[in-house]
Amino acid sequence: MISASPAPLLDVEGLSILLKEKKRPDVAAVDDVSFSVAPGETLALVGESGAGKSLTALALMRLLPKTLGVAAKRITLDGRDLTAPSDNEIRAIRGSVMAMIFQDPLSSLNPVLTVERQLVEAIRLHEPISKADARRRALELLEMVRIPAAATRLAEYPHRLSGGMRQRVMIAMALAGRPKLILADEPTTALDVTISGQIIDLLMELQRDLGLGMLFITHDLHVVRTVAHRVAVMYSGRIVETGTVDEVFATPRHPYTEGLIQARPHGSFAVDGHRLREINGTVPVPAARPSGCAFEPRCARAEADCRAQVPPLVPDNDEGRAFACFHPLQERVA
Amino acid sequence: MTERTAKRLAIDDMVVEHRSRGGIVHAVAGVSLDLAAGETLGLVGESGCGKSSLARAIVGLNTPKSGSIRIDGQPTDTRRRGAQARQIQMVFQDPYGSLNPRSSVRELVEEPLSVHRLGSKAERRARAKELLERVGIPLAMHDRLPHQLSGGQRQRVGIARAIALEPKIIICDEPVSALDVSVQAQVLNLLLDLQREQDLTFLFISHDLEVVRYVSHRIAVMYLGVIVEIGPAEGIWSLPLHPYTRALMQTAGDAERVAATGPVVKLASELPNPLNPPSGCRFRTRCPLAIDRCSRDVPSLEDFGNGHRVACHRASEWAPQAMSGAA
Repeated sequence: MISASPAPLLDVEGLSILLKEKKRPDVAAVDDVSFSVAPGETLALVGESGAGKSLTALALMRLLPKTLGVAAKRITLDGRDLTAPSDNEIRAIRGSVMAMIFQDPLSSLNPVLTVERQLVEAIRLHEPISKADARRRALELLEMVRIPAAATRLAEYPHRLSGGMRQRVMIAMALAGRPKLILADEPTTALDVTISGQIIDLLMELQRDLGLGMLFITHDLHVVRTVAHRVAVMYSGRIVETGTVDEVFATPRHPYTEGLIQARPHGSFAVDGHRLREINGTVPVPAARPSGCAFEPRCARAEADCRAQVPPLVPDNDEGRAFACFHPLQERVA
Repeated sequence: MTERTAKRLAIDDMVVEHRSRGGIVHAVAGVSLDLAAGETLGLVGESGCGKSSLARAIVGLNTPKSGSIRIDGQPTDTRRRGAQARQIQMVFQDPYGSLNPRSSVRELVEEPLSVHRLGSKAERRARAKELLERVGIPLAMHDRLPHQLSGGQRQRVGIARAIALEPKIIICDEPVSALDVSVQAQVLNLLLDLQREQDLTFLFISHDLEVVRYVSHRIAVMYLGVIVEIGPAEGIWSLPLHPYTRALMQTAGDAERVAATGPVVKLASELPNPLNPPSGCRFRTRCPLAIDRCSRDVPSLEDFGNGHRVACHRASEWAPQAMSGAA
């Protein structure tokens, strides 16, 4: 297992995303999150809807609408300062240093262009090569993402492909600019289990072969266990716990992390009288986030201090384990 | 597990066809299922396998080409009316899409009662209040509109509507798939509590194998319109016999344990065109274990003991001796 490397590929410190409202003060949809991704490493951002996972990835790509303000203490990517990049700087990096894979490939692929046209366009955006060379590279990319009969698929339009094939084309598009970091936003959520397994295998193989860093966004804990080295659990715009996947799953310290794990059925049968552990209530919207710990109203361990102030994310060991809770669970749960 | 002989719901040789531009799709190609009172049958399979077509035919939302549905031994008309319609209800994946956006929560729950002309206006109102309280919607929210509720609350309203007519059978079509993990547990616990209280029979459709294993007494696996394996939940989970089921169970997390019980099946390709299903065994084009015979003979469901039935020509090769002996 890869631990925090001395020179991370991506280093994000104090990233906030502000919803700018006209008459009210700004609301932080993502509130002061910090994380890093090493080359060849996968960090999973896990959490429920509204946690701010996708916003975080879109902020890194600078793909957010103007109504959302992005502020960070420091963002570096592959040695470049990306804290407040100009349009030109971000354009130079988008696709060629970091690229994004979206949940729904059909809405991110152009419906009226063939797979080849789109790939050639993406390739020539990043490399000054001839159309013929770009076509050869397009075919190479489709073979790389293991599309059977790749040569004939080049002439297809996206709607003619199955969901799994479309997602492979998306991955090929993302790889067109030879990026070092992949931001994968729920890349398997819209797919069937058998196909999602194939896509995950492919992503893991490509990562190994190309030494890619990966920020993998998902709500699915099972997927986290399969793909990620480290995990950051997000709740209502903040990271509440982070560490290696093994550590966090084996001994969650934040009550929300434990609640998420326990809420999933694992191995038990309801027929035998097992009940799933519920987490009462729902995730608050950012504007209605409590002043202290955002999880406090749903937390069985909450006390007065949880309402008084936001618990900071405190490091727990040298390997990057940290959690944000005043009353954490014991180190070893029986 | 309960041993009940009375069949609450019996589906016999159901065929559902859809017309499409390319021809006729046999979405459900001859499915027979029996469900006992108080039982949950989990139905799993990929999108396009026909599980929703089957569900909709059972509830009466589409008309099957052939086949019969019996409730407590009584044959039903495919265009059910009145009392018969009340016995089977459905909980949908997307409660937002199935609730009228302009009706208040209270009106939404009163609606099935007034459609069936049950009770006076005041009685329906009281009953709606009672139902909403039972599913955990506080009184203060009864006048809200669906968009003012969270996804979990909307699903609770959908459940209140489904139980309003005191049905015997509920078809749950991906009831928690659209919900966040922490809310899924709330809704699953509610459904299971209601099942115990009212002896409800569930046909529980989901692509989430862990959820299916958790809620089900028995599990049926569907592939391209046919059932390929069916049996007790723990049997299917611990010893999947059909190669397709084995592939599914390996993706669901127990890869090592599944691998220890027989061949490892990795699915390379995707679901074939349902307009033109493969001859013989419909799964053979994706099956790494397929032999000549699989393209000739359609495998029928064979009993491997304890009600664990599998439609595969080769299953007996890896089924444990004790099981094959029982066949």
